[in-house]
Amino acid sequence: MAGAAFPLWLSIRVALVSTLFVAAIGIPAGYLLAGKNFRGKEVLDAALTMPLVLPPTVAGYFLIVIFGRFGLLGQYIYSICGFNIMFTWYAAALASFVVAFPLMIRTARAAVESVDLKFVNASRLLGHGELATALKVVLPLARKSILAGVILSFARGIGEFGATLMLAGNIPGKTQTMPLAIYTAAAGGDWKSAEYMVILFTLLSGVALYAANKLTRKSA
Amino acid sequence: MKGISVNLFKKVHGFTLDVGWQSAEGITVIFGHSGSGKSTTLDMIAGFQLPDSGAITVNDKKLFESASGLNIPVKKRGLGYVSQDPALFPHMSVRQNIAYGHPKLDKASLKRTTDEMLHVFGVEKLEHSRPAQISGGQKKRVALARALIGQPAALLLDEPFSGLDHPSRAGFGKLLIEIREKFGIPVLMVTHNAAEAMELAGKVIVYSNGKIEIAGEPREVFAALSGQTAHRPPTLGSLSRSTHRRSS
Repeated sequence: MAGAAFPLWLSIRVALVSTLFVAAIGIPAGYLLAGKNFRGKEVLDAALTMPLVLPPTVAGYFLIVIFGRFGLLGQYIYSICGFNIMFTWYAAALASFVVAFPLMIRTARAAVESVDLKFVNASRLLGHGELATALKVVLPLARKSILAGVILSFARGIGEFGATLMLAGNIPGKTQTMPLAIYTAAAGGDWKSAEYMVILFTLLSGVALYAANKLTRKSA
Repeated sequence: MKGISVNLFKKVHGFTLDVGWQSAEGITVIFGHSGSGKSTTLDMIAGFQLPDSGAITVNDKKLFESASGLNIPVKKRGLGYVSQDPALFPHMSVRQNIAYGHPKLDKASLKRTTDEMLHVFGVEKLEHSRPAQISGGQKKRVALARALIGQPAALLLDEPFSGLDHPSRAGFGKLLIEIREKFGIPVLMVTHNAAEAMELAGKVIVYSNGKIEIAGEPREVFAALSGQTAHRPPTLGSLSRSTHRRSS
């Protein structure tokens, strides 16, 4: 099934890029939400995790409003560098990022909160600052749960459909990820291709969930 | 002057802690029942809890003073603290745990100092073990080594004998006396075990309901507590005067 090769490759590429950013921003954000008390903390948490409960098409709509050619930020990006993210694979990565980010932030926050305060206190008493305590004590102790969060974010990102369709479109050979290709194949009556891609995708998601569960159990 | 001096007042959830004392030569023991404010005192000296008012001084260095708003952060207090649970980092080996206690040393000096601490505390053979692989007594030794490697200004011990069996307790008591002599720093220990207090203390401060009931040399204190002496338990004022006389 040569037709599945590009969507599969694009989906993996999109999910890898989005997961990279999700981890790089989501882990520190989850850490801050877990360890710091500040005004508006729960409001910020709710805003950051909103895409978890919003329909992906609503998330996609917001993304168009923000990053579209005439969007709140998009117009400035276009006027500065002449780049419009709409209907590019970057848009698919951005859509994946937005829907996967809440999972990462929730998992990272819970993982950091689960680290016993006695270890944090011991580190501080031994003369270590916040950064050293975070890097050498808290994150290593929370690593398995955080890694499970990274895997779950990857799985969520690779399966993204609604927001991707709205922001990146469904252009074969350019922005058509695997979920979009499955939709196109099924809608066009090409059940054999759809079935092949569904099996492939189910296996991929199953492996990711198995790995995440195993890591979570080990860290408990 | 080497020693710990505190004046602490704190009200929390209907409990009031209102104490003032100075440590003496040797090991100072805070003795009392659970909930009398012993561990809260240690937490305040370490900086984990803030008094409502008062002052904390260790070796003439002020760590906290409500009047001037001084409050040295936990990481800069330079105190060693070993709690009931040694809180060894489970992802680090024994050697890594001890070395973590001295964040400011360069690599070569840290290795040399860690080797020395492993030897002093008799845990050289366990250096590559993880905390989960060693006994309760060994954990306490490692926790002590980790607390002392950075040459703290004072050592705080919260029920250090808890979880140890009888033979380990005897060995650990001896180790605490050796530590006090070798490192020459004030040692403040919290316990609710009278035998430990009698054996180790240079001075015993008895807490009851957040107040000092009596303080002084262990023999006098426990005699007074068991009603063997006829005299009235001394007041805090007379105690600080007698402590002053003894230390001068």
